[in-house]
Amino acid sequence: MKPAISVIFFTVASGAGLGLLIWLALLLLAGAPIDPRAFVRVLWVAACLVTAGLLSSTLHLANPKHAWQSFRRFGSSWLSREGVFAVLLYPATLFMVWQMPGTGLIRDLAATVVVLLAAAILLCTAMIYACLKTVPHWNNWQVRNGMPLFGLMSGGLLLLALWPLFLPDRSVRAIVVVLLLVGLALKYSYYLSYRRIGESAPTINEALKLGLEPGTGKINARVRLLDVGHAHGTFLTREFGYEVPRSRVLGLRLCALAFGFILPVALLLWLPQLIWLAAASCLGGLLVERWLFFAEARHVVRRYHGMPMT
Amino acid sequence: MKLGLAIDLDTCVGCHACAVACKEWNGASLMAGGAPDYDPQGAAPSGVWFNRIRHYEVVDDGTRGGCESATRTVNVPMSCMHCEDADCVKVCPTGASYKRASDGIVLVDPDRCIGCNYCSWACPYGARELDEVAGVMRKCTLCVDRIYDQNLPEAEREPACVLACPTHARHFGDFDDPNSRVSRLSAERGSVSLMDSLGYKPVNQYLPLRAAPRVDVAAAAAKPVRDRLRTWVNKLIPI
Amino acid sequence: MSTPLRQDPPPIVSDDPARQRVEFTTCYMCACRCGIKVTLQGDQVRFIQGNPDHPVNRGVLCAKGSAGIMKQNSPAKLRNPLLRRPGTPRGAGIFDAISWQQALDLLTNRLQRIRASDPRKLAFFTGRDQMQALSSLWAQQFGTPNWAAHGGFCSVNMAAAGLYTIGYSFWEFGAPDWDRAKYFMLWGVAEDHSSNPIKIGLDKLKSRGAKFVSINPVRTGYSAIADEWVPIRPGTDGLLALAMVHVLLRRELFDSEFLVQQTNAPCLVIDQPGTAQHGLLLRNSDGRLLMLDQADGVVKPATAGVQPALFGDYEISGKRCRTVMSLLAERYSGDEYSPAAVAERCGVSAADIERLALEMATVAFEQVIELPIAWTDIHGREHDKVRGRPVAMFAMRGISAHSNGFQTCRALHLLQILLGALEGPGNFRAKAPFPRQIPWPVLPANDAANFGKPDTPLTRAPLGYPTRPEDLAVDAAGQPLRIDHAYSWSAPLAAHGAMHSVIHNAVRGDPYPIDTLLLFMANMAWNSSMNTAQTQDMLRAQHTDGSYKIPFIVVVDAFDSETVRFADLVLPDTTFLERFDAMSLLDRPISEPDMAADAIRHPILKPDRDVRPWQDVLVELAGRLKFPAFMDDSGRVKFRGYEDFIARYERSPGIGFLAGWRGASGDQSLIGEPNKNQWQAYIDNQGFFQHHWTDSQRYHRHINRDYLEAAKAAGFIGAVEPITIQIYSETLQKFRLAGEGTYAGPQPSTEDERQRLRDYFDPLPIWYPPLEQELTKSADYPFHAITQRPMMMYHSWDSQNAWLRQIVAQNHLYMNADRARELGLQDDDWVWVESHNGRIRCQMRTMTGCERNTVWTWNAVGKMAGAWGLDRKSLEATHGFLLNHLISQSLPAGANKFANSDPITGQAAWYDLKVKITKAAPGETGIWPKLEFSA
Ligand SMILES: Nc1nc2c(c(=O)[nH]1)N[C@H]1C(S)=C(S)[C@@H](COP(=O)(O)OP(=O)(O)OC[C@H]3O[C@@H](n4cnc5c(=O)[nH]c(N)nc54)[C@H](O)[C@@H]3O)O[C@H]1N2
Ligand SMILES: Nc1nc2c(c(=O)[nH]1)N[C@H]1C(S)=C(S)[C@@H](COP(=O)(O)OP(=O)(O)OC[C@H]3O[C@@H](n4cnc5c(=O)[nH]c(N)nc54)[C@H](O)[C@@H]3O)O[C@H]1N2
Ligand code: SF4
Ligand code: SF4
Ligand code: SF4
Ligand code: SF4
Ligand code: SF4
Ligand SMILES: [Mo]
Repeated sequence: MKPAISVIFFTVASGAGLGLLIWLALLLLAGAPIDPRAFVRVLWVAACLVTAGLLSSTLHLANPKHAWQSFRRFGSSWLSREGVFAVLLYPATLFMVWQMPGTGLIRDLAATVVVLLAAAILLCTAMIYACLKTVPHWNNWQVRNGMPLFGLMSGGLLLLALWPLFLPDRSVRAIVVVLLLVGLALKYSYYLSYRRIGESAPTINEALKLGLEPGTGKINARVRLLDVGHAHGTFLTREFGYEVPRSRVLGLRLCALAFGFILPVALLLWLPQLIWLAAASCLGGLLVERWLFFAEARHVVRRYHGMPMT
Repeated sequence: MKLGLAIDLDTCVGCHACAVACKEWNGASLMAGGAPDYDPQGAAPSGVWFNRIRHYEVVDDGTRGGCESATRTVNVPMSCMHCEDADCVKVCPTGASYKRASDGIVLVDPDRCIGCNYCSWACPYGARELDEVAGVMRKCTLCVDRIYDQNLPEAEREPACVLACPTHARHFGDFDDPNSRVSRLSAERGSVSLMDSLGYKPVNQYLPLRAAPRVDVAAAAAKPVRDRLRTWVNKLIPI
Repeated sequence: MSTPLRQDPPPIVSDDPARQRVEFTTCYMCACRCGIKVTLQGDQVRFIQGNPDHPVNRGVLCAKGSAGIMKQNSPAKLRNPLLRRPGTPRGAGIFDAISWQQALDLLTNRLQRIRASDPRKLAFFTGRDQMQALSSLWAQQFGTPNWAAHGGFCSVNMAAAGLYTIGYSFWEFGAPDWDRAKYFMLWGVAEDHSSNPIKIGLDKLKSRGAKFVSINPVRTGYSAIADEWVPIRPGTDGLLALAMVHVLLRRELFDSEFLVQQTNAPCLVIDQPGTAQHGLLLRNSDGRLLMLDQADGVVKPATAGVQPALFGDYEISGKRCRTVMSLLAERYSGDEYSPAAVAERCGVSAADIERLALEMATVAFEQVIELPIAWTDIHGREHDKVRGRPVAMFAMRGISAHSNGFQTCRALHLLQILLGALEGPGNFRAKAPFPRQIPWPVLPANDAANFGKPDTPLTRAPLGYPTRPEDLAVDAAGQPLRIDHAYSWSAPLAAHGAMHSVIHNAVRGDPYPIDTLLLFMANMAWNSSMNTAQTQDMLRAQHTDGSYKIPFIVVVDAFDSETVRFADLVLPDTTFLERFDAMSLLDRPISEPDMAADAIRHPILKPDRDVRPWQDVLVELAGRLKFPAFMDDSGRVKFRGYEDFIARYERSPGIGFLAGWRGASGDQSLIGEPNKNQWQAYIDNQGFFQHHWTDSQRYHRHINRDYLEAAKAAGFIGAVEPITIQIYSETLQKFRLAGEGTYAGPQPSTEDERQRLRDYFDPLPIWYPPLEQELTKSADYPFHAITQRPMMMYHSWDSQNAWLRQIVAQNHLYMNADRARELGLQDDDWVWVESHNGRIRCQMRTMTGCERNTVWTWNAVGKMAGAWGLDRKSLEATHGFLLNHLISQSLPAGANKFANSDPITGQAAWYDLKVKITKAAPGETGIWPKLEFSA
C-alpha cells in the first residue's frame, strides 16, 4: 500500500495523543495527586497531537469539502465511527477539564467517557485497517490490537516525559515497560508471520479462477501475467503497487523494533532521566513502524497485476 | 433485481474494445461524472478507467505436449462486480458509496464523496479509481444512465461495453431472473466468481474456458493408405 | 453485517437528446470499414458506437473505433499547408505555413512541367488509400505508370495467389461462413482488415461448438481462444499444408466431383520438355481447354455431360499428356511431403499433422451440410439442394509477409480445393465483385512506346494481372519500366505495385531518376519502410552539387507523422469525420458473401483548420492539369470536386463508383445512370448500400448460372461462363518456360532472373524456404523475428490517441520462456537484437505461448521523438522500437540485387527476418537506435 505521509503521521500522532489522553483520564480516575495546571498543560499536548493527526488525515482527502458527511455510515464504517467518536471526544474532554477541579461521580464519569471514547477511536483506527479482507497483512489480530497498544504505549512515554512527576512512580513506569514489551512481542510476531500471511492470501489462480482442477479446486497449472494492459501507472498501481526495496526491509524493521520498543524499554529501566529520548525514540520508531505498516502491506488486487503478496 | 455482467473468458480476445467504449461513454457521461485523463500527450499518460483488461498465461508445465497442450492465453476484463456483500459500500464513511436496493448496482454519489480512497482499499477487484481532477471516486455504473434511458432505442439500453464487444463475450442482465440470458449462460457454462473466497459475493460472473471440441477421425484414419505408385481409378463424373 | 442498501436511486441523468444529433457514417480508424453511429453535441463528438444495421460490424465496435473521438481531438492534426523553409535541410521538419492557393499553384506548376516533359517522373504512391479507383485513374490520366497503393508491402502475394487460383482471395475478397462452418483453420492472422467480422465470427463458431484451429507461432488474440493452437515455425506453412495434402491424397480423401466440375484438375498438361509447349495445357484451335472424355476416349472441351478422366497419362496427337490431377497426385503423395518428412522443419509433430488433415477430411466428408435451396448450374442443370463440406479457412500476413507467401497461399487453396470446401455452405466464400475470371482479366499498363510521352494518358490503368511474359512492364532489354520494378522479371505478378521499393530505387535512379515523389497516407519514413534509418538517409540524400536525389517530396497526411517531417510540401488532409469518401465496388467495398455492398463517409464535422480533403484536391488538380477524363467536350472542367465526381463519373455506361440508388430517380441498383441525389440517398440510408443475392445465387458461384448472369449484368465479370479454379497455373508455367529459355516470347536477360523463374514459378504449389532465411545461417541468427498487430492500435497512427496510448506505449520483444531461460535472459532484460542488416536494442519479455525459435513484438508502436504531438520523453520514443531497422531492403549478399520480397509478386518479406539475441551489458538501457527530430 502507498505509504502516505499524512496517514502515517496521523496514526502515530493521534495514537500517541489518544494514549496520553487515556493516561490522563486514568490518572484522574485513579485519584492521583494532580496539579490542574500541569494536567491541562499535558492535556494540551495530547489535544494538539490528536488534532494535528486528525487534520493531517484530512489532507489526504481529495475532496475535503464534503468531510462533514463522513458521519453518515456509523452503522457500518469504522472510518465513520472514528469520525463520530473523534467529534464527541472534544466536548467530552472539555467537560472533563471543566469538572476536573471537583471530585466525585461527575468527574469520574467524564473521565470514563473520555477513556472510552479515546479507546474507541484507537480501536476504530485499528479496525479501519484490520477490517479490510483485501489486505491480509492488516486483516489480523496483531493489527487489531497493535494500534491501540502502540497508542497507549507511546502515550505513556509522553506522559512520563511531559510530567516527570510520575517517573519515580513505579506503577506507571512498570505499566509502560510492560506495554512496550508486549508491543515488541506483538510487532516481532507480526514480522515473523509476514510471509505466511502473504502466502495465505488468495493465489493468482484463485483470483482469476484459472488453472484449477474442476471439482477439487486444486491448482493444476501455473498462471502468470502476460501483459497488464496499461502502459504507465494507474490509480491502482500507484495506490497498491508500492514496493519496499527488499534490501531495506530488514534494516527498517530492526529500526522500528529498536527505536520503537527496545531502546525506550532500556532507557526506562536504566536511564530514566533520559525519558525524553525514550519518548522521542519510541515516536520515531513508530513512524518507521507505521511507514512499514503501509509500505509492506499487500492488497490482493496485486494478484491481478501479477505482483507478489510477500 | 440483481443486475450484472457475465463475461466469457472462452471468447474474449483481449481487444480492449469494452474498456475504450466504457471510457468513451463515461468520459463525458453526466451520471458517471467523467473519467479524466492526466497528461494524455505527455511522457507518462494516465487516466481513470472503469474497465481494464489484463492478459495471462495458464501454463501447463509439460504434461501434454504438442498442439494439444493445455497452455492457454487468457484475457480477463475486469470492472465492478456489483458485489452483494460489498465492503466498498460498508466502509465508506459518507455513504457516497452505495448499493441500490432496486437493482443492486453499486454507485458513487459524487456530492457526498470525500475522496478518501477507503472504498478502493476495500475492493478486491481493483474496480475503483480516484478521479484526481474532481476529487471523487469513480467506478463502473453498469451504465445505469443507458439501461433505463427511455430516450434510447430499446436495443441500446445495454451497457456501452456490452454493445461494443466484438466477440459478444459480455452479457448483461438480471441474475435474479433464472430465465435471463446471464442466468442461463451461467448455469449452462458453470460460471465462476472471481476470488470468491473473500466473501464479497460478486454478482458479475465469468464463463470459464470450454473444453475443446473433438473430431473423431477413426473412420478417416481407417481408410487404406495408398501406395504412391498405384494407378488411380477414375470415376464417371459429368462436368 | 450485510451491505447497507440505498432505497432512493437518484434520478437517471442522461444527455439531453434535444441538444444532440445523430449521424451515420463509416469508421476509418482502420481499414475494416465498420458502420458507426455518431452522436454529436454542437461541434463536438459526444459518442461513437457501432451501427447495429451495418453489414460489416453489426453494431459492435473495436477499441480504435471507440477512440475515434480522441483522434478527432488529436493535437497532432495538421492545420495548414506547409512548405519546407528555404535554407533548412529536408528532414529537419522546419516549415512555413502557406495558403492553399500558394500550395496548389506551386504543385500545379511543377506537375505541369513534369507532365509536359516526361510524366513518368512523377511517382505517386497512395499508401492506405481507400479510393484507389480514383488515384489510379488520376495516375493514368497524368500519364505515369508509377502509381500504386500499399498492397505491395501489405499482402499482394496472398491477394494474387487467390486471384490466380480461385478467383477470389483471403485478402479482402472472401470470408469464412461463420454461421455454418464446423471446422475452422486460421493461418497466421492476428487481426486482419476484417477485424470486427472475424471477432463476431469466432464467437459464432465457438458457441456452435465448431472446432477452431489456429496456426500461428504466437498464442495471443484470436489464437488465445483457439481450441487448438499449432505453434508453427515461421515460413513453413506451405510445407505443413502440402503435408496435409499428402495425407488426403494417400487416403483418397478428396472431392472428385468438385475437382471435375470446378477446377482444371482434369485438364491435360503437355509433357514435352525442352519445347515451348511443355507444361502448357492442351487446347483446341479456338484455345479452349481440352480433357479426355471417358465415355468415348476423345479429348474435347469441357461441356455439359463430358465425363473427363481425372487421372491419366495419355498420348494425344503425338504429345504425351497427363492430367493435372495425375501430376498433383504423383507429386504430393511422394515421401518428401509426408508428415514425418516435414515435422521437424515445421515444428509440428507428424501425428498432429496427420490428425489435423484427417479431422478436416472427416468434417468435410462425413458432416456434410445440405441446404434446401434450389439452384441452377452453368450447364443448366437444376439442383434441389446446396451441398456444403463445412471446413473453412482464412489466412493473412503470417503467410503473406514471407517471400514464399504466394506459393504457400496456393498450397492452402489446394487444400480447400481437394476438400471441395470453397464457396459452399460452411466454407470460405467470395465477396462481390468476386469471384472473377482467373486471373482477373485486367492487364497492367506496359505500353513501353507510350510511356513518358508528354501530356499523354496511359492506355491502361497502371496495375493489373499479367497472364504471360508479354504482359510485363519491361523494355526491350528486359529492364523495368516502373520505378518500383513491379511487373519486371524480379517481380512479375506484382499486382499491387511495390511501394516499399520506390524510395530506394528513386534515390539510385533505377531505372531512371524521378522529379517528384507524392506520398499519400503512408508513413514511408518510418514503419512502412524496411531499413528505416537508412530510408531516412535516402530521403535526405543529395548529389554532390547539393541537390536532393529525390528532388521534391510532397506528403499528404492528416497528422504530424514522421514522413511529414521529410516533405518539401505538406498538404494537410481532413479527418474521416470531415470528408466524403466512397468504399466502392470498383475498389475495396464492404460486400459480404451474401450481398454486394458499398459505403460512404460524409462530413459530419466542419474542419476547424485550414485543411482540404485530398480527394477534392485530386479532382481539382485533374482539372488544373486538364486531364481528358475530367474535361467535357468543350474543354471545361467537368467536375466540381470529389462529391460531384463520385456522383457523375461513369467508368462504363451505368457503372459508377457507388452502386446504390442509381438511375435518374434513384431506383436502380448496381447499374444505372448517375443520380444527382445519390449521396443524399446514402446519407438517408445510414451510409451504406446492400444488394442481397437471392438464395439461388448464394453458393458455388463459380458455376452458378443465376449468380454469373447477375454478376455479368452488374459488370463484375465479362461473360456468363464457368470460372474454372486453377490448381495448375499456366501463367506460372509460361514464366517458368521463359526461365528455361524455351518460351516463345520475352525472356529475362540475366541468368539470376532465369534461375528465379525456374525455381519459384512452379505451376503447382510448392514450398521453398523463405529467401532471406535460406541466405542467413541459422547458426548465426537462430531466431525468427516477426511482428503482430495490436488489436487496439493501427500502425503508426494511434500513438497520438490519448486513450489508446494508455493501453500500449511500449512494445517488448517476446521470447519463449524456456528459450530465454536457456539463454540466461529474463523479463525486462535489455537485449541486442541483430540481423545481417544491423542491430537494435530493446527490452524483452518471456511467454510460454511462443514457438521456441520465434521472437515477436507489436508492430509500429515505437515512434520518433518529436513526432505525433507527443512529449519527446514518451515511452513510444524512449522504449518503443521498430523491428524495421533490422529488415533489409535487399536480400543478403549472394542475391544482392534482388529485393527482400516474394520473387513472384514482389511482396515485401517482413517476416523472413532472422536474428540473434544477446543480453545488453549492464547499464545499457533504452532503445537503440534512438531517432529523434531536433526540438
Ligand atoms: N516490421 C513491420 N513493418 C510493417 C508491417 C509489419 O507487419 N511489420 N506491416 C506492413 C503493412 S501490411 C502495412 S499496410 C504498412 C502500414 O504502414 P503505413 O501505410 O505507413 O500505415 P500507417 O502507419 O497507418 O500510416 C499511414 C499514414 O496515414 C496517415 N493518415 C491517417 N489518417 C489519414 C487521413 O485521413 N488522411 C491522410 N491523408 N492521411 C492519414 C497517418 O497519419 C500516417 O502517417 O506497414 C508495413 N510495415
Ligand atoms: N488493430 C489493427 N488492425 C489492423 C492493422 C493494425 O495495424 N492494427 N493493420 C491492418 C493491415 S494493414 C493489415 S495488412 C492487416 C494484417 O492482419 P494480420 O495478418 O492479422 O496481421 P499481422 O499482425 O501481421 O498477423 C500476422 C500473424 O501471423 C503470425 N505469423 C507470423 N509468421 C507466421 C508464419 O510463418 N506462419 C503462421 N502461420 N503465422 C505466422 C503472427 O504471429 C501474427 O499473429 O491488419 C489490418 N488490421
Ligand atoms: S467489485 Fe469492488 S467496487 Fe464493485 S461492488 Fe465489489 S467491492 Fe465494490
Ligand atoms: S472515496 Fe468516496 S466513495 Fe470512497 S469511501 Fe471515500 S467517500 Fe466513500
Ligand atoms: S457497464 Fe458501463 S460503466 Fe460498467 S464497464 Fe461496462 S461500459 Fe463501463
Ligand atoms: S471487448 Fe470483448 S473481447 Fe474485447 S476485451 Fe472486452 S470482453 Fe474481451
Ligand atoms: S475495426 Fe475498429 S477501427 Fe476498424 S473500421 Fe471497424 S470499428 Fe473502425
Ligand atoms: Mo497492411
